[in-house]
Amino acid sequence: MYSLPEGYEDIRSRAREFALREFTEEVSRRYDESEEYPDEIRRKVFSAGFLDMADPWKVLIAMEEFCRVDPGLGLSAIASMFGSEILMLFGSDEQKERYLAPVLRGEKISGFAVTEPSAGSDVAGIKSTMERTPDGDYVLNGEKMFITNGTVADHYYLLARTSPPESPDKRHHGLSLAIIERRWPGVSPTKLRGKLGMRSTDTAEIKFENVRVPKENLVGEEGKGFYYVMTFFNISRIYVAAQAVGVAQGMLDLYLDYVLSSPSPPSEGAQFVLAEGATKVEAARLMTYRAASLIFQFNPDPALTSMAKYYAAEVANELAQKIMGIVGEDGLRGRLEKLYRDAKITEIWEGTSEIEKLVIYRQLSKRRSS
Amino acid sequence: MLRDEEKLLRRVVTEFCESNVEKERLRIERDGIPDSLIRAAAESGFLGALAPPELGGSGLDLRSYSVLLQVMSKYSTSLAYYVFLQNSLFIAPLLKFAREDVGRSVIPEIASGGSKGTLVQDIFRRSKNSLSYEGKLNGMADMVPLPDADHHLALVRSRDGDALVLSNPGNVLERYRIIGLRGIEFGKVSYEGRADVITERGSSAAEELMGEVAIPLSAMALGVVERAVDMAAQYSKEREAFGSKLSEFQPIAFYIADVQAQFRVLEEYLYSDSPDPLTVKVLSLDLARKASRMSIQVHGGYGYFEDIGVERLYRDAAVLSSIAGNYLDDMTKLSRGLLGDFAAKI
Repeated sequence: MYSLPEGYEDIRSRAREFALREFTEEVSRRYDESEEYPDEIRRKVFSAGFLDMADPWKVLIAMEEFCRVDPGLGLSAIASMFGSEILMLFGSDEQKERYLAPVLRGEKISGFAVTEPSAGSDVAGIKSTMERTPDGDYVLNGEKMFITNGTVADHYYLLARTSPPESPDKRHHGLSLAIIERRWPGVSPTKLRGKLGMRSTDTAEIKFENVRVPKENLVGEEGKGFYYVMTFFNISRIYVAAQAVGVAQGMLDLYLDYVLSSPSPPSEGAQFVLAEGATKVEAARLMTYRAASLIFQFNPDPALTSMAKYYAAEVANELAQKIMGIVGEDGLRGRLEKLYRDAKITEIWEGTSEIEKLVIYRQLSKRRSS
Repeated sequence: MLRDEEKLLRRVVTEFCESNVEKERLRIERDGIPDSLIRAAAESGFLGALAPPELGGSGLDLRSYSVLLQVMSKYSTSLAYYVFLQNSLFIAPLLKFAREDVGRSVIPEIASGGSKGTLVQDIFRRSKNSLSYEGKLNGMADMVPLPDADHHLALVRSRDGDALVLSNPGNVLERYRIIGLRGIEFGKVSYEGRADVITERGSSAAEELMGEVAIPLSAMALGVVERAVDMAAQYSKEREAFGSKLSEFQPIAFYIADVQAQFRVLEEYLYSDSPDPLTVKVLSLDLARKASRMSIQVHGGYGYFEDIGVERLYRDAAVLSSIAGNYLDDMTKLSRGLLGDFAAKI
C-alpha cells in the first residue's frame, strides 16, 4: 500500500479546508505568542469528526494537513487523545470505560508521561518509582519532564519503576505503566514556557509526591511497562512522521507562493529548490503511508516506522533551513518562520533521529541473524 | 591567526560580555536590549567602533571589528547586531559618502550612545523600495530596525536616480519582533519631511555597502557557531544516557567535531590576510544554520527551550542569513566572480 485507501482524498480535502478556515494567521499568531492551549480549536476539531480513533487513517491525514498550516494548533487538537492506543491495546474494560471513553467522546484529555529530567531517549533510565503498599495499591514518587498536555490533561499514562532491575543490562525490566489523574493529591504540573516552536502545545514538568495509585489503575501486567511504551512508540512515531510531512509540505506551499509572486520569472536555482524539495516530501509521504498501512493492519514494521519518522523530520528541517535562506527578509515574519521553528521538534520527540537510526539498525541486523 | 592587539581585544570584549551581557541574556530576548547595556557598550567604545577617534570613535580596523562582533554574537547576537547596525550600516556609509557638513556631524552622538542611527533595510532589496525624494522624503518602509532611531539612512528614488539620504525619524506605524534578533525591535515607518542627500550615487553605494557587510556579518555568524559548538560540547560531556556520557557516542561526537572542524578552518580564513568576503559569508551563514541545528539536537528537549540559550542561536542564524541579501543572490555573485558576468543568469 503506497497510497491512501479509497475515500481518504476527500478527507484530506476536508482537513485542508478546515485548517485554512480555522488556523488563520491571526489565530496562529495569538496562540504562538500567548503559548496557551487552544481548547476551542480542539473542540472544533472534535466536532468536525477528525478525532476518530476508530479510523486511524483519518487521524493521520488530519495530522498531516493540519501541520501543513499550523503544526502547533494541529498537534494540540489531535494529541488531546495522546496515549489512547495504550489503553486500547493493554487496558482493562473498566479502564477503557472510565478513562478512554470520555477522551474518545472529546470530553477529556489524556497525556503520556515517560520522559524525566535525566532520562529522555534512555527510557529505561527513568527514576520515578511506584512502591507497593500492603493493601496492593501503589505510592508514586518522581518527576516527569516535557510532558505534552501536562497541565491540561485529565489523566496521564505514566511509566515508573515498580521493582529494581535484576542486572544493569535488564534495566527495562521492572517498569510498569499506570493511569494517574492530574487532580490527585501529590500531582503538581508546572507549565513550561519559552519553546522554540509548537508553542500552542501544552508542555509541563510534573512532580509526583507520595501519590496514591489504586491497583486498578495499573495498565496490563506489572513489570511490562517498557514493552507497552515501546509498542506505543511504534504507533505514535508514524504520527510524528505525518507532522513532519505536513510541515515540509507547508513550507513548499509558501515557497511556491513566494516564487510565483515574484515580478520576474524564477531562476533555475529557485526552481530546483522546489523540485528537489517536492521530490523528497513525496518520498517521505510514501514512506509514512507505507509504514502506517502496516501499523493500521496490526502488523507494524518498527524499522519502516523509524525510517519514515527519521527521513520525514530530516526533510522538513533541511527544507526549513534552505527555504528560509532563499526567501530572505520576507520569511522572517509570518507562517514561514513559524514552520521553521515548529519543524525542529520532529527530530527530537517520540524518539530522536539518533534513536530512530538505532532502531533501524537493530531491526535490520535482527532480521539478518534470524 | 589573531595578532596580539586583536587577542587583547578579544579578552576585553569577552570580559565585557561575561560581566554585562551573559546575565541579561534572557532579558534581552524577552524585553529588548536594556538601556544600561547600550550605555555600557558606548562607554567601552563599541558603538563607535569604526568611527575615527576625532569623531569620538575607537577607529578599529575590519579585523578588530570582526573580533568584537564575533565575541559579542556568542553572548547576544541581538547586541552584536545593534553594534553592527550603528557601525556597518550607519557610521560606515556616512564616513564613506557624506560630506563634512552633512551627516558626519551625527557620528560622535552615535559613538557616545547619545543618539541611535538606523538604516532602512530596503536598501538590500531595491525592487521593494517605496521611498522617494524630491526635496522631501516621502513613502513607507517596512522591516526598519530600531524604528524610533534618531537618524534614518535610506536609499530613495530621486529625480536623478537613486540617492542615499539621511532623514529625521518618521512616523512608526507598526512595531514588531521577528524570528531572531529578538532584542531588536523592527517596524513599519512612514516618512514625510526633510532629508539630507548623502550621495546621489545611491545604487552603487548600496552595492558597495552590501559587499562591505559580508565580513562583519560572517563574524557574527561565526559567533553563533562558536557558541553552538561550545554548548553542545559541554552538554555532551555532562549529560548521560544509557550509562555513558553523550560525548562517548560516536554519532554525537562526530556531529560536534564536524562542525568544530569547519569552524576552525573558516575562522582561520576570515582572519587571514585577504579573505574573499562573499566566500566567507556564504560558508559561515551556512555553518551557523548547521551548527545551531546540531546544538539543539545534542541538547534534546532541553535545547528546545529558551532558558538554555541554544534555540536563540537557531533563530538568529536564520535572520543573519536573510538581512543582507539571500543565498541565491550571494551564489549568483560568487558564480560571476568565478565564471564571468553572464554566469548564473538563467
